[in-house]
Amino acid sequence: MATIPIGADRTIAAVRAVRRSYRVLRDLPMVPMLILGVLASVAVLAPVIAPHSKLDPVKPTREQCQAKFGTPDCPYVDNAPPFWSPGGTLDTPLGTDFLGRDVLSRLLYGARISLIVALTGTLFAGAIGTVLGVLAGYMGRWWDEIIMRITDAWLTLPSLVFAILLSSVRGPGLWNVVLILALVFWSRYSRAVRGEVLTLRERDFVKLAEINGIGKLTIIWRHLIPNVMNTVMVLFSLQVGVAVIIEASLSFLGVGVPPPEPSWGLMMAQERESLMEGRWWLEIFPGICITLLVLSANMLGDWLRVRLDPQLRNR
Amino acid sequence: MVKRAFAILPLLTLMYGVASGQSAPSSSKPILSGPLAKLDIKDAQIAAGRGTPKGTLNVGLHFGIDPGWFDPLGYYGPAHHFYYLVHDALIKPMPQGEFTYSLAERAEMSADFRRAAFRLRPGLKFQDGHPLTAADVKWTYENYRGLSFKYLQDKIESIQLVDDRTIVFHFKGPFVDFLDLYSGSGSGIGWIVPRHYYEQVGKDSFKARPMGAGPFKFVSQEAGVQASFEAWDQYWRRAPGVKTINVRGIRDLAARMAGLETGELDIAYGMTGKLLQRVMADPKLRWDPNFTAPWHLVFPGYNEPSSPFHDQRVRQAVSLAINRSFLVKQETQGIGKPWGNWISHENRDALRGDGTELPVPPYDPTKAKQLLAEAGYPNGFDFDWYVPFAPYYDMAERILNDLRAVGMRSKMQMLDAPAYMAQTSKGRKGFPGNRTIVQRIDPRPGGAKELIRLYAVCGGPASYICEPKIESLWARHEASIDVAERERLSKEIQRAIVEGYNLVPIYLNPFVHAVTQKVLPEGEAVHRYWDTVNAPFPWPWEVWEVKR
Repeated sequence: MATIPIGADRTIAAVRAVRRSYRVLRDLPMVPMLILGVLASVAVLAPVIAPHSKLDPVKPTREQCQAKFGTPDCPYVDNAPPFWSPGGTLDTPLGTDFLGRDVLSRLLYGARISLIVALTGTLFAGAIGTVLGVLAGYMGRWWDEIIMRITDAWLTLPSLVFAILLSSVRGPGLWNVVLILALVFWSRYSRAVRGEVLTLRERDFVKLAEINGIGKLTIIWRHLIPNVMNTVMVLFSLQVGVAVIIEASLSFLGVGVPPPEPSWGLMMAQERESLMEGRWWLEIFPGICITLLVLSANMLGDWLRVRLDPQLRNR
Repeated sequence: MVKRAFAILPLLTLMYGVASGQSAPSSSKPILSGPLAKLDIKDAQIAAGRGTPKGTLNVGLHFGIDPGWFDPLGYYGPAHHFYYLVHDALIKPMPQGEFTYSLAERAEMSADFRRAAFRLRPGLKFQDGHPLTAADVKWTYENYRGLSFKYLQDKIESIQLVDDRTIVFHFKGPFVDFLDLYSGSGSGIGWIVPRHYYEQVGKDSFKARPMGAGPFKFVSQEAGVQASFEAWDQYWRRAPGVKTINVRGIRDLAARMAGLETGELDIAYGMTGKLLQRVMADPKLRWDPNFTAPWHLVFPGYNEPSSPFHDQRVRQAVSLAINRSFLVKQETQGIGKPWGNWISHENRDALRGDGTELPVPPYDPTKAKQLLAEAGYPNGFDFDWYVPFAPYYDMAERILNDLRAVGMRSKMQMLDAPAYMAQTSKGRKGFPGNRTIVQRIDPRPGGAKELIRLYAVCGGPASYICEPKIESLWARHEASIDVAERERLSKEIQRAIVEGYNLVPIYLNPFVHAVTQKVLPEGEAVHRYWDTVNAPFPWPWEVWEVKR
């Protein structure tokens, strides 16, 4: 009978842990997480890493003024191309917009706005929807009737049109967009959470808690909300992408984040004409940013859905 | 036999006038007794023959369409664009002159300005064939509820119907500006509404399906987006040149440009900005600079002590911060003119703002910062909103950028045109708080005094300014019936407003319109469509012609 040297069991355990970690890491959606990580870092560090102001034009050199306007002095040089195109400089690597502002800096700050709006808007929507969904599912009777009828009515509203309507009532503004996103998306959470709670409330641990005389609020807080968090997290990750699109659309339509703040949707809206004039970089870069953010959020959401669903996970 | 010959003589005379295509002289038979004021009203030009309308003119408006603009009784905003299509006025600005006879063939004012009278042309009809009579005129004036209606009501003592074609207005006191304000130019009144139809369908249905006595019949509308009109070949002056006019509200400049390039549009407005260079370089397009009025900034609630704009030095700093010559280059390819008055040079009695009568405001950001520091804002300040005229958002952001450079920081509130027009037509009341700058323009025909009365006196329906000095000058203006004195006072008020920085003029706006090759006549003769004095849009529409 072979003997295992002292300490070998620890080595085996370590190897297994490494293998387990590797499997987890291997299954992680690395690309979307990397993109989201970069975008989140950029959003946080924008004031540090942005080469120029998000609002003020880049001070031009005498040569640039001479080349553009034929005078040695000018307030700014507008529509400078990216550095690899003729006329571009490394000082403004992705070019400048119609007001001579650095496109890269505005994109970096734009990440901040898109993420803040999308995350907080979706978070508020999730909070409202979860609370209402749990109340409807657990309390039943007229709670269920009222909340679900409102939810059903809410779900029939086309989200973008509804968001535009709310926006025209509330007026433009970053926090108004957050509020609008919360008001538009809460119903999706309440519908899903209520279904989940209808099953949970019949489970033994809830029944035992009731038999032991534990209050309804405590049951909701201790037993139901923790058990619906998986569903909420999946929904959250999927809704973030939609929220980014809605924010960009509202800003594109002029009812979202007001200028001169740089939102990606707004940046695209302001340069619609530029595409016609061949200044593609003013449209393409914000467009790429929106696409990457939405795609990554959706991929992460899909991964979470699979990971947290036992049936899909074991397939 | 001789009797019969005399009987047909007037008919022959009228036929000669019509056949020759010359200006039809107004009827010379007086309406009022006693001495009359001298009026300079041009005769209408009546076409020689009645041609056949043909082709379609597709118009690209640079903002959304408000159905409220089809109802003259509730006038506000740029409604004249649609009045000239569907409705007709007693007297209205035309290429022949600012005052040109239209439905009225004669107008009079007594020398003491206490009575005014109109005589309608014979045989006038609305588009449904119903006769247009003096009773419709009376009803229109009595039921007008649009901009400046209170002022009119306060002045009128009674309206007298003399016969089916003749109407006399009696005023409580001298009303020198009656024709100026209430004949069809400066307000919605004077554009005659069919009483029978309005009462039959109601106010809302009238907006949805308007009908009038103008050259084009309303056909259909998609609220806010599009409206279609068809030629009414019974129009008294001439048959319209085009059969159909479609007006589309297209806020996006690129979409209007694409419309012109693909032939979906035949004329598009508001082509300044990022694509003006492209318009100018396109050999298939012709464009007209169409100078209208100066852009200017107003400060709603500035006279409340808590407003940062209460201090004249801050308002002056706003003016000094704006780099007008660079702005003009960027926005208008240099064809706009930095201007020192907020009223158009084409308005009667207006001071020219090109340096001849009022100086062009200088650009001096250093002095602007110094003034802000003196006013207690060494680090500048944040204000709530900068509200631009839709859809000139790029221009607004350039101005915001200039203001930020000296320390005045804000964000932009982007309103669509109907919302913007509705808010600005309320004046100070349209903008809560007192930390907002509103960018305005008002290309309105008439005298400078009309703009002063609307915007710059305390009781004005869209008032932004309330200053004791201006009030006192205005009271003297209103009390006077001496035309020369009124002109002098009007100019004195304009100067006081500009020198007090109550309004900050920016530049004289070229409201560039571009047309395609489909529009006739070919070549540069097309500029005749922009002959009407101080008209922001190329009316009258009945003269437009297109290739099939």
